[in-house]
Amino acid sequence: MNSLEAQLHSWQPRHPSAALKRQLFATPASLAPKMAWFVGWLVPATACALLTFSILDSGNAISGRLSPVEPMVTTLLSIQGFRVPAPDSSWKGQNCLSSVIFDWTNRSGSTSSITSFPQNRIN
Amino acid sequence: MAFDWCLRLYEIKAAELILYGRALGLSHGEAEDVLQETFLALMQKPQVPLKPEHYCVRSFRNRALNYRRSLWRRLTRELEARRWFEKSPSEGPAERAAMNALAALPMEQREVIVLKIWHRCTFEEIAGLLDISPNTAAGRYRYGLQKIKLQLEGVVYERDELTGGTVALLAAAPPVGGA
Repeated sequence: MNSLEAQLHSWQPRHPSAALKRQLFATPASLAPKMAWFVGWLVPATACALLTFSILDSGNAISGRLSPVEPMVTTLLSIQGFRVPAPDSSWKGQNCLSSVIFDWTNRSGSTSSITSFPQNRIN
Repeated sequence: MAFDWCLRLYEIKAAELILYGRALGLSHGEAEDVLQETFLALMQKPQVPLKPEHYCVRSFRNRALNYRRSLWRRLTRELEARRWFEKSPSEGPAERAAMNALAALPMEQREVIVLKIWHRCTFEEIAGLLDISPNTAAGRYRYGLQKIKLQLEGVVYERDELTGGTVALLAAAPPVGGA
């Protein structure tokens, strides 16, 4: 190698960025501290947020506002299918059967050898 | 383990491959992208290649030549610093000019120079890689090196863009004394 080649060889090529090496050769062991920090931060923060929401929610219920269950009950009651039949006059005809339906039991022309109940002796 | 030999290879070759990428016309960022692709592919290999360094250079070259260059990439390449080498405290103006001269060489010449000097390839290996004869490789090397030498010695050369890249060598005029 002559002097010119030696001089050129002394020029140091620019290195790639350190991020590239990290991207290529990131091992699970090197990621562990980052993950530990992330989990160590995320888990308590999530727990705090959940606790805060639950406290705020229970505070609303105590102060007299509708609890989350009440609107659901109202909705269910508004649906016709879930309505409980009320004993008013409109239902009377369907619940009180007329005596005509049972007339065949009072006929004398029965083929049975056992007589029907007499009308005057119910009990 | 694939991971270990790739890491060792990366430590040895990364900067040289970046320089080779520059010689092939890529920006520093583009050369990094191709370097990443090359090593990702290498890490997928189940076995260590017979000559890892040469395999790596060949793989890098193929990927660099196939690298799709968008308009945005071209623009960023133009905006990016042209520096190919690390800054050295002993770097003088002549050396800086020589570095720029290397960057200004035709791609065929600077590619051979980079492979010969920084990758320590023989002319036979370069010929095999570029699919040319060893004599052609040697000729490109000598011609390119001569231009850099002239630059280092304070000779200014101008490149005539209009005549297809022919180079005219103009001796620097001696300073006029007492003027």
